[in-house]
Amino acid sequence: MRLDRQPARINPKPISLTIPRPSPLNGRNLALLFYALLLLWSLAQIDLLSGSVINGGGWPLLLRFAQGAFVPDLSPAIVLLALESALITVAYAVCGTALSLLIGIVGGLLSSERWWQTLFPQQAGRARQRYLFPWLGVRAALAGPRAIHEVIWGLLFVTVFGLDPLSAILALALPFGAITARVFAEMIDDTPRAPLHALQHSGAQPLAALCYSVVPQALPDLVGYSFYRFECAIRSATVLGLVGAGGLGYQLLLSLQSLRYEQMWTFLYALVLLSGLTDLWSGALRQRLGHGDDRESLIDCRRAPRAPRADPLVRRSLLVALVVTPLSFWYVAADWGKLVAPRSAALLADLAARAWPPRLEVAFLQELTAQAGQTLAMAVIAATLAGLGGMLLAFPAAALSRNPGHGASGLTALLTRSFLLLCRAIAEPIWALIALFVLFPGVLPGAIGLALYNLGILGRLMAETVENLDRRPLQALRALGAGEAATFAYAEVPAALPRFLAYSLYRWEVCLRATVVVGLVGAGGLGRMLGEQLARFDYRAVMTILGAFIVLTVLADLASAFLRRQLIRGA
Amino acid sequence: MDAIPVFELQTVSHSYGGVQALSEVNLTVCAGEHVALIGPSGAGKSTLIGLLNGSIAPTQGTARALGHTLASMGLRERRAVQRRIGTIYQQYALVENLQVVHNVNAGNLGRWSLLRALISLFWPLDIERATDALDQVGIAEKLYARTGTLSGGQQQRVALARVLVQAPQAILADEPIASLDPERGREIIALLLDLVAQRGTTLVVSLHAVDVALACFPRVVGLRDGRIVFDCPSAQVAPTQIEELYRTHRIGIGDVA
Repeated sequence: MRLDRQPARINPKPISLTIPRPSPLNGRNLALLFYALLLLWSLAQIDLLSGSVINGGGWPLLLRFAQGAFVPDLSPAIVLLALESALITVAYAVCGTALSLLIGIVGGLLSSERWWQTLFPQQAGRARQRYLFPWLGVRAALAGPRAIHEVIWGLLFVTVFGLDPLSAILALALPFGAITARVFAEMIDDTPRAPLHALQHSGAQPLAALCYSVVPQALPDLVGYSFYRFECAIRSATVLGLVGAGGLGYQLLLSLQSLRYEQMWTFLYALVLLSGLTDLWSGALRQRLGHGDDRESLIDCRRAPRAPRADPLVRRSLLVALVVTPLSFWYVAADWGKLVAPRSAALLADLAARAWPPRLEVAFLQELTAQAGQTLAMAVIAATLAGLGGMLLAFPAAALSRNPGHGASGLTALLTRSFLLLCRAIAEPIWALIALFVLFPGVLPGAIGLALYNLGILGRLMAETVENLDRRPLQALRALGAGEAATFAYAEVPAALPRFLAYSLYRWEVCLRATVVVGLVGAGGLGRMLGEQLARFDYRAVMTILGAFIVLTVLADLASAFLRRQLIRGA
Repeated sequence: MDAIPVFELQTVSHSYGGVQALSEVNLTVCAGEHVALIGPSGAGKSTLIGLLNGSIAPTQGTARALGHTLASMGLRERRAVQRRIGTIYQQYALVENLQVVHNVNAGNLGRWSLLRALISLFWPLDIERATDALDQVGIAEKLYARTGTLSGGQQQRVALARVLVQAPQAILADEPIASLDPERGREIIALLLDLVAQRGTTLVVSLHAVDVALACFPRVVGLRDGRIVFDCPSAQVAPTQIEELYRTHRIGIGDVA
């Protein structure tokens, strides 16, 4: 008997039923069309034909730079300098994280709905009115610092407090605090309600009821997220160094500007080592504490099973944090007196006076619009590249859990993961600076810088998604005889795609905010314009540019929310 | 003894949005009574329990607990009454990543000052009372275990211990055994009845398991579509009444008033 004959019809009766195909004019396809047009428009902004994209004269420099990788300057003086500047960067990151956690905890509680609901319990229906104003007030107050990138905060603080470590620490603490507050609020509001209600309805007073339910419920997430924030702070402290705050980033820029590529590589290696180690450490911690990743992990299924608090790595890490935090505050020796000094207040008032009214001349606004377009295009291209790259690399990066016990899979996974780690160990502006060797300022170098760094982040997140996929549909398809490729296309990809899209769209919002840092090192867009006006002390223009940035950010968030809603079912 | 009924519902109705969950329910539970509420899913059992402990306010009618109309009281006064009523839930309502001792001590929160409550989270206080309560539910050795590591039956025992520490005059239980296997469920009900019998505590339990309700509770209340269908000693409940109670609607819920 032949086995490969045509299978019998399911229903031997003649077909009498035809169901019309659904119309292709649905929200999903419209969203895809919208995205495709946006991408095409963004690519057109690169203006490849104009001849002002690739800087042919830069190749010898790039070659010299690349050669430096093999002969980093390992003289004791430079190694010591690298060590010392790494220490400064770490100390900034620790102090900034510590302060941002303080802001985050207070702000997170006050902007969570659970807190207000518990303090003002009411019977159903009338509940909201009593706390609506303070609740929304706190949320609004936290939205401002979040919308502005930490580097811009850094530049503003420098004009008020001078080149003091205080400026760097506050520049980290303020936006990070606001972001942390928002994430903490979501974590608090996500905790299961039943335990809190049980306590409330057995007559416990509100604060005690919160301490016995919401606080311990949210704590592992909060701790996990705090370590993730520290990881981010290390990268941001480096970037702040690039704009003058000192530490590794500052040394990197100095050696680049003086064309000492061998020294630059010493600092680059130090940076990769520092970011890489922090990354691995915080990743290991978060695995134990549940996924405390950015808002990205809040997109879905965050309630992973938890290891007990007694885990030795978690305990030791908390202990280290406890010891290192006061040491860091001592080491950076920031001049805290400046916070309340009359001179700072006077400088702030002066800054405010010089920044008002914002510049609104037609010529300036035309330039602003053009640069805003470049910024938008930069973010779209960067997120697209990072998203596509992440989707491609996620599967090899997760090879080991897809084909356990396979030697080659282990090697593939290790190589891919190392590449992703390298991508995210080097901050966006440094990638952009390297791209600027051979590219003229414009959309492309900025997009490449943003894309490489965000590829590192997205690839890791997507690999985790692939690892955590439900394997049962896969096994079912294999069991019915589907091949590897078919299983991949019918089970793995559809299961992973919604989260891939959600991550990529969120990355788009992140990229748009980060265009400012690649701009400041000269890549182009609003960030470059901002840097030029700051150098000219034209604070009225700075004010207008910041306004444009906020408008752009809000628009991008809305567009991203629209795409998310249309493309991802149930998101 | 006490002339005031422990729970009293007078022509109570409750609706969520436009959906009527309870319609003109009258119910009186006296001190020391043990009552089982039975009825199909969506009959209004959970709503009724919520009305009794004050977590839900009636849309119409009056709900009194221990002589007080909870819905019209100030927060502080209401809490003072609520701490004399203990509730057990189907999903235990415990914090899984806390040690058992803290979940049990949460029963003290109505009495403890905030400072004392906070200190206890770091250095457990009143351990004797917590140990004693856990001992009575048979899992004293779990005092310092992480709650999430316990089995479902053990977690429901922790919830019971929390209520014991609270030492209320009345205990409400909303489907306390619906998440457990039949054997574990019977154990929990037997334990619950034993504990309330020792203390003379009033008990109202909503149950899916009709056999358990009829066998273990002197009084059974049948609920269907938000109305009380019967309310009588369990010995008088006829099999036809049970059948009628759980009979499925022929098409959808279109014939619900």
